[in-house]
Amino acid sequence: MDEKYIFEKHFNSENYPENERINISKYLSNSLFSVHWELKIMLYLGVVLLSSGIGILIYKNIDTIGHITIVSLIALATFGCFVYAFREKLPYSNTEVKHSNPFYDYIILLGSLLFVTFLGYLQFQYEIFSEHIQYISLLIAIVYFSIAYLFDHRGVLSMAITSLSAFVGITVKPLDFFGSNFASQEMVISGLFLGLSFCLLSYISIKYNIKNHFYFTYLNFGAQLVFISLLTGLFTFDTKFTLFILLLIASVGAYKYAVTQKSYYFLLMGVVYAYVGLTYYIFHSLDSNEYDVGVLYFIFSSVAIIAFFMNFKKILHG
Amino acid sequence: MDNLKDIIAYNPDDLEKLSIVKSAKKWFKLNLISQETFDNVKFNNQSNIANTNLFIRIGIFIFTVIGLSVTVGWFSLMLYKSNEYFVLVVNILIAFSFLELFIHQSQKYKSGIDDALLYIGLFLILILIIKLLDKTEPNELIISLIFLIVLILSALRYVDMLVAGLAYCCALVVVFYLFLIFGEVAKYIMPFVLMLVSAGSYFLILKNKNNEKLRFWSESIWVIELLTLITFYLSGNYFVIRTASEEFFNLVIGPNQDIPFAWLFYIFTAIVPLIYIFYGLKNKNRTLLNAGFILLAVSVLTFKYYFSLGHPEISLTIAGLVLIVIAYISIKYLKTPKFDITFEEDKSINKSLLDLENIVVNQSINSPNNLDSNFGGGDFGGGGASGSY
Repeated sequence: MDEKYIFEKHFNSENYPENERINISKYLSNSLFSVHWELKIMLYLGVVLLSSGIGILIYKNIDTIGHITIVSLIALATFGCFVYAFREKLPYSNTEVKHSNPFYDYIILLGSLLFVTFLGYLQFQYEIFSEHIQYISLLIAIVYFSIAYLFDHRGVLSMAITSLSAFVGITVKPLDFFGSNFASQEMVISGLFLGLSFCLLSYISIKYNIKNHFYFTYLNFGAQLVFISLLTGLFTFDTKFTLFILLLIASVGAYKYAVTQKSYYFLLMGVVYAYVGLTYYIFHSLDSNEYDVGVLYFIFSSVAIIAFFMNFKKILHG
Repeated sequence: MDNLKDIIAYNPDDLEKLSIVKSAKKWFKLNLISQETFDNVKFNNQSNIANTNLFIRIGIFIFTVIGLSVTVGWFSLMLYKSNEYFVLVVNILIAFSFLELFIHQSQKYKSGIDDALLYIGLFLILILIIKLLDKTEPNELIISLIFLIVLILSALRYVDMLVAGLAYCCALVVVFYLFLIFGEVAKYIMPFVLMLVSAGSYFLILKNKNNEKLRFWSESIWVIELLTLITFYLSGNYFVIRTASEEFFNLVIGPNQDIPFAWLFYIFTAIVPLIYIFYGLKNKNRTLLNAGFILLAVSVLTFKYYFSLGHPEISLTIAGLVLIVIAYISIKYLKTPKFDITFEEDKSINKSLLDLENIVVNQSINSPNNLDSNFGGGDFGGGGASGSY
C-alpha cells in the first residue's frame, strides 16, 4: 500500500508527536533521487564484462600478440589495481572495514579477476603447473584469502572459498572429473571435511571476533557442501543407511542452528535436504510394485512438512 | 465501485493494518519515529492476519505443489475412465474451496499454500477451458478471452501480483487474436496495435494508481506498470517483429531483404530504451529508469544479433570498458547532487534483493506482529550514513 496514503490517512493526526510527523513528511517529499545502486551495478557488470573480455581476447590471440607484451600488460594492470588498493587501504581491523571510496571494492575485484587471467596465461604459455594443475587453484585460493582479509572484501572471500574447494576436488579426483564415475568415495569424504572446516572457520570468525561479518559466507558454503556431499554419497554408494543417518544428523544440526539464530534460511536448508534424502531412501527400499505406498508417502509427508512450517513460530516460542 | 475492497478474499482491514505496521517499521528503521511511537502503532494495528517469511513461503509453496500434484494426479488417474471433464471440474472445485476455506481459517496472508492452491487451480481452469472450447472458432480468441476474465477476477479477489501480470499479458493475447481476424493486414498493423494498447495501459495506470479505492492492489498495479513498459518496447523490437513475421506470419526474407518498415523498427529499438532512461531520470521514476537500462541491453543484443562483426570478446571488453567509464564519470559528476539526482545511497530502498547475505541475515523472525522482535541482524547504518563521502 502506498506510504503517502498511509501517512495521510493514519498517521497525520494529533495522536502522534509533531516532530515525527514532520520527519516523515520531509522524507516522503524528499526530492533527491538516488542512483546509487544503478551505478554500482553498472560498475560491477563493467568489471565482470571487462575481465571476461580480456581473458577471452588473450586466449584467442595468444599466438599473434607478442608474449612479453601480453604478460607485461596484464601484470601491469593487475599490479596497478593492487598498488592503488594498498595506497587507499584503511588499516586492518577485526571488525568490518568500510571504504568510503565507492570504486575501491571494484578495483580490488578487477585486480583479482585479472590476476587469474595472468596466471592462466602463464600456465598456458610456460606450463608452470603442468604436472600439478590443481596447484593453480591453491595459489589462487591463498592469494584471494589474503586479499579478502587485507582489504575486507566478501566477494573475493567467496572466490577464495570456491578456489580452495576446486583445489581439493581436483586433487582428490584429478582427471576423472568428467569421466566415468561421477563421485568417488574420496571426493565425498573430502567434500564433507572441507564443508565442516568452513563451518568451523565460520565459528572461529565469530568466537574470536576475526572479521566476524565473514561468518555467513563460510557457513553457507560449508553447510551446502556438507549436505551436497552427504546427498551425493547417499545416491551413489552402498552404505545407504549410514549416510542417511549422517544426513539426518546434519539436518538436525542445521535445524538447531536455525532455532538459535532464528534463521529461516537454514531451517529450509535442513528440511529440504533431509526430505530429499528421506524420499530417496524410502523409494530405494521399495520394490517396484510397492510404489502405491509412494503416493501416500508424498501426500502425507507434504502435509506434515507444511504443517511444520506453518507452526514453526509456535513450536519455537512454546 | 464503492466497496471494491469487499471482493477481496482476505479481510481488507487486516491487510491495511499489516501495511500500516510495515510502513511504521520502515520509518522506525530510518529513525523517523521513536521506539515508543512504533510500539504504539503496532499495538493499535494488531491484525488477525500475519505475513509469512519469504523462505518459509517458498518452502510451503514447494511442498504444497508436491502434495497437490500427487493428490490431483492420483485422483484423476482413478476417475479418468469415467469422464475427463468431470475430473477436471472436481479438481478445480476442490482447489478453490480449499483456497477459500484456508484463507478464511488460517489467518495467514500469502503463506505459500494460498499461492499454490491458486496457481494450480488456475492452471486446471485453463486446461478445462481449452478442452471445452478447442473446437470452436476462433478458438484462441475465445479461450484467451474467457481465461482473461477468470484471471482478472482472481487477481482482484486474491490480490496476487503474478496473476495480475498474467492477466495483462492475457489481455494482450486477446488483442492479438482479435486483430488477426482482420486477415492479411493484421501482419502490418499488429506492432502498432500492441504498442497502442501498451502505451494506453501505461498512461491509464499512471493516472489511476493513486486512487484510494485501488490501494490494496498497489503492488499488482506496479507489476502491470512494469509490464506495459516492457510490452511497449517488445511490440516494436526489431528481433521480435522479424521473428514473429517469419515464424507466425510465414514471411520469407531473402539475403538482401528486410521486413517492411524495417527502418522504423531499427529506430524504435534504439530509441525507446533511451527515452525510458531520460524520462526515468527526469521524472525520478525508478521503474522507468531500470526498465530503460535492461531494455537498452536487450537492444544492444538485438543489434549484435543481426549486425555482428564477429569477435564477441571484443564486444565484451568494450562493453565492460564503456560501463565502467560511464559509471565512473557519473559517480564523479554526482559528487554533489545535480538536477536533484545523487549518488548517495537512499537508505529507504530495500536492497535485500541485491545481496543474498543480507536477505538471509535480515530474514529472522521479523514479523510486524511480533511485539518483541529485534529486527534481526543487518545493517541499517546506526543512524548515520556509513559509506558517505
